[in-house]
Amino acid sequence: MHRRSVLKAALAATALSGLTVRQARAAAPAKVVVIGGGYGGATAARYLRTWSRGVVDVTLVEPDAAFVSCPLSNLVVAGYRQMADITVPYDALVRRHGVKHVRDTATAIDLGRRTVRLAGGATLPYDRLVLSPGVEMQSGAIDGLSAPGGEQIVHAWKAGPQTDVLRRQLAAMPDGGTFAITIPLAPYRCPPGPYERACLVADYLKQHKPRSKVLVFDANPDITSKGALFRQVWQTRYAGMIEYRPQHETVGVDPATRTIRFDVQDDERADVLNLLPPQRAGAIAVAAGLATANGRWCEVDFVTMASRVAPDVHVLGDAVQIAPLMPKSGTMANQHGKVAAAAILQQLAGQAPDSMPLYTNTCYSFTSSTEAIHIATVHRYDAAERTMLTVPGSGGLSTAPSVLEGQYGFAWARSIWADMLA
Amino acid sequence: MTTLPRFPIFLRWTAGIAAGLCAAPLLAQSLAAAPASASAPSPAPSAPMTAGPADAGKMSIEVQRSRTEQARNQAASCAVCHGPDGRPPADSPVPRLAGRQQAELVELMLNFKNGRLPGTVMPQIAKGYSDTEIIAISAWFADQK
Repeated sequence: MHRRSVLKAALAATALSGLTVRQARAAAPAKVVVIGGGYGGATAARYLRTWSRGVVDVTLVEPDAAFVSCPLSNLVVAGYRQMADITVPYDALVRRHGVKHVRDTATAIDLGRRTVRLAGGATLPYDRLVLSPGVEMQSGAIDGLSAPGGEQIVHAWKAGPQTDVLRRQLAAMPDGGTFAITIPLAPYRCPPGPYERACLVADYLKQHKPRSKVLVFDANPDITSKGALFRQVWQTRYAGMIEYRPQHETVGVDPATRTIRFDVQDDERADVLNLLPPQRAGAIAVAAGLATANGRWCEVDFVTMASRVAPDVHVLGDAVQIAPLMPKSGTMANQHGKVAAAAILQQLAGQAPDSMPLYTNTCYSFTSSTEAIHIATVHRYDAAERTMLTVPGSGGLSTAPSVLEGQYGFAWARSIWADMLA
Repeated sequence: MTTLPRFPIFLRWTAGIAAGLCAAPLLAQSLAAAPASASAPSPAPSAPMTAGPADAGKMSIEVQRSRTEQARNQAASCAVCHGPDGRPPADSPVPRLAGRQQAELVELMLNFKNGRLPGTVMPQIAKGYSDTEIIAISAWFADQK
């Protein structure tokens, strides 16, 4: 019997009864390689193992020993949480769920041969590839970032060492100084994130350096998420401290004088520069030819999360060309991971994938060290439109920031980290 | 490692159907008490969830498997706040869903959906799910002992 037919039979049998797990294990297991251990990739890895009852062989390619969360990282920038609070090791994925963790960086995908090349020189074959590469910062779009001193200007939009650098820069800023954050045109990772960062930096400054200012230079025509709520907080809690300037597209920077250049308006100087460059799908996805939308984002079939150009490759998270009103968020990446895991197992078993993806996005933004606001949306697959659409009449926003929602925000983080990694 | 019950899936689905019977009066009551909501455009019910208990005996194992997996997949969405399989981390302010009575979960969700139970995110989320989906997802959580 051909290996793949054995596998199909084994998985089909397993789906019907736990009694056949041992027989299925005797067959050659399907190999799934997962690139990237963020919200999408870690979730897919865990669910592929859980839902196949340990039958499918899952290898996670991720250079880091631990996951570091972007959500909640703005609290670290403001000094209200430590790096350790947003760091979760990959140990349980390996120990409890049997995921093979290869601590290496995937450098290339051979779609024809179905292999992944690693920086360390090894080549991994796959039956299915899950690609959760996150975003690549297009730093070249900001002239001067590569000039001497440019390395001191961080985005901190991938949680990790830069998060700590930005925290230290804020802590070192003198009272009366200016913290500037620049926002690229949407779509970018975490639509409300820059405005949350403005709130939390202002919360810190209000307590420790009350004569300071936060300048928000947004390339977009208006606040891209939770606009009315952020505006309300800025006008009340942080009155006179946060200044919001829409339609300011950052095109250059002079690291020596800490000056930002815009496409239209006059230059602005600040003491701490936090520049968020334009973004696109992680470099490996672009190099593999999967970023079919403007060369930036990966178009997928939302029933399976399979790439439109490579059906064996399932793309997740921020790298995906999003459906209408679908944010590039950690929760969405987690939901993508489960849709992909379910579809991969069904397809490997020779079954049609679940044709009704239905999931919720819940996104909390902290407006102070203890208070948060939310946006919630429910997304349902629309067969006619071949995309995910929000369900009419569902979803909504907070009425105002609250401590209760702050508690829910912290609870969300602990639950989703457990859902990915515990 | 796995948290799924060990007995065959079709038994769990049948159990879900049986529990669905208990929820039916609640569903009828809820719709009767909220005419405005009942007449509002509701999301298209997921076709596989509409078969009644009378059909359960005739359903092929394949169809049963597909329906159970669909409920499982849709329930998995709740994990981001309620924890994997509806088991939140210790001391979470977000309630556990795993192992609760199906009828209780259905009643809560329908009350959120129909505006009779206040909340932060849940009234907004519940409106995105059809009644049949709520019944099926609740059955799945009830089975997570």
